[in-house]
Amino acid sequence: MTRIRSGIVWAFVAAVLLAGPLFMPNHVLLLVALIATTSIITVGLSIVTGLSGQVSLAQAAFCGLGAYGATLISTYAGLPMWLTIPAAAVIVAIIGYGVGIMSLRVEGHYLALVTLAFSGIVHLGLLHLTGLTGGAVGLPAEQLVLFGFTFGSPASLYYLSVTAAGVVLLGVWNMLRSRWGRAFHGVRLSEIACKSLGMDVRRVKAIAFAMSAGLGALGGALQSLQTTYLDPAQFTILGSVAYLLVLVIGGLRSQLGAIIGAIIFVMTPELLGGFKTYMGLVFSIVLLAIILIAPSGLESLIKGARNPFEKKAAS
Amino acid sequence: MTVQLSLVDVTVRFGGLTAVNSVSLDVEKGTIHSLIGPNGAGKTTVINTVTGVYSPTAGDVLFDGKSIAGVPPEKICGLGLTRTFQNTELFGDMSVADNVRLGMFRIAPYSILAAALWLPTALHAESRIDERVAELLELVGLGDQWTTEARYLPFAKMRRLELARALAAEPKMLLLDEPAAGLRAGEIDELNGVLRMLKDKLGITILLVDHVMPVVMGVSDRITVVNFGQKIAEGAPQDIGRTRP
Repeated sequence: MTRIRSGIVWAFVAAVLLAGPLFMPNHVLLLVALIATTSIITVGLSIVTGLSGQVSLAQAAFCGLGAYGATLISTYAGLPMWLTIPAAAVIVAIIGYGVGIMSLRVEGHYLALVTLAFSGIVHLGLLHLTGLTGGAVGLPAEQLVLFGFTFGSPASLYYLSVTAAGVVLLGVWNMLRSRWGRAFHGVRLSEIACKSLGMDVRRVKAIAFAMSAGLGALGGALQSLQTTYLDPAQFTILGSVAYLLVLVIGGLRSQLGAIIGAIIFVMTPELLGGFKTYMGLVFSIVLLAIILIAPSGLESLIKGARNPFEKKAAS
Repeated sequence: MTVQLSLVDVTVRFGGLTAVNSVSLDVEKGTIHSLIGPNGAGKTTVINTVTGVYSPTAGDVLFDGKSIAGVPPEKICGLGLTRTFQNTELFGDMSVADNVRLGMFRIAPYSILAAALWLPTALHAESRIDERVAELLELVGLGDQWTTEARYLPFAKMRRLELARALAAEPKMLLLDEPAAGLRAGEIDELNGVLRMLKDKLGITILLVDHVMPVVMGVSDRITVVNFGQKIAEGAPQDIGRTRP
């Protein structure tokens, strides 16, 4: 029964998304596209922080590496973007693995600080390697050209972003139901038990980092196609904190939570309009409210509302 | 008979405290060997030393004739040695079945890419895993509780789930840390039945640490008694039962 109902819901969502350009104005199309790419980034973060329980404050840095990486490789190696975007994602995933292996010597708050420092270093690098990155001025992002078709119009970017997000979410959905999803979950719940079952806990955590970094880079690179301009101010420590914040608001441990987080990330500045300066304040108030009302995120409210007759498991 | 696990003059010190003092002990293949003694006698320290949580200060630990002293915990499992924990270390938020599936993490591998793309290697491994999970849950009497979250199980079932998870790693030898603590009389009989079956049908060697006498006396082939970190007696259950210090 619930399976049929969720099937109908998903079919409806897919149909609306497919038909989007028919009824959505360009402005809305670009917002949905931005939400789609942002949800790739937040879903990546949910793997390392939500599932594996390793607080990462480096997601914006991985996005920046992906975005700059794709464009710079394309410019200097003369390769097309459809090749350099996945290449950048893979390279950043490897960097993420390295950061993971090195920083996972420490745990908890210390790990958060190490990732924070990494985020700061990347931002400073983007700012001061003027010859390569254009410094504070930034540089224009390369366009994606596939079979002679340039992804420049809102509708084409919309389809590209939504498809990419769909593929990523499906892949992560599969991964969560595999030995890897269980392993990520397991290292958060009991490291000693994982070790006794022969799991190399540090390697598993580093792989979670790599996944999150790779998806962050993919999301960041796809976003650069929408913003068409690379500006180091997009990839600051505050950006990393904001990704974590909206993920907590949406729901740390689920893909739905990551999508809700992405919607909040994109829509809050949009809705605030002229009051954008107060975005930090709004995020903080919402976060406090969420911690009081629904500690496991907005996603849990939706799940609870979906079937009010379902009995809660006895605890 | 061949020796499966052997402690040779093992000493473990924490600072000035000697938790285990020059203990030697041979566990023969295919037997149930119990290690008993009062609280604080060093029983759990022995298990933690064998499984690599601690390194012995002096002496050696041999498994299948090879030294495993100082081998880290995650490598111990690959040698064929798994353990359960005194206060259970289940993955509470995960389902009963997922707990056992995770026990097969090492022996049913496939890449993360195969997992994301749901490639045949992953599907094949998963169906093999689920067959094994069905067997093991049936074995410990949890066959009807695949989807229950582990933390909602009653304590006795948690212990059996932990046993199933340890078995999922396909060990040659199990180290059970107080599997009977907190169990009622009826549950203890069931546990004895399961332990005997593991030994007789699967040929698994068991080192049992406990002080619940109905279990120790009921299933052990050999018993070692420790107190204040030292071995004070060893023998068959009837001999140990007669000895009154």
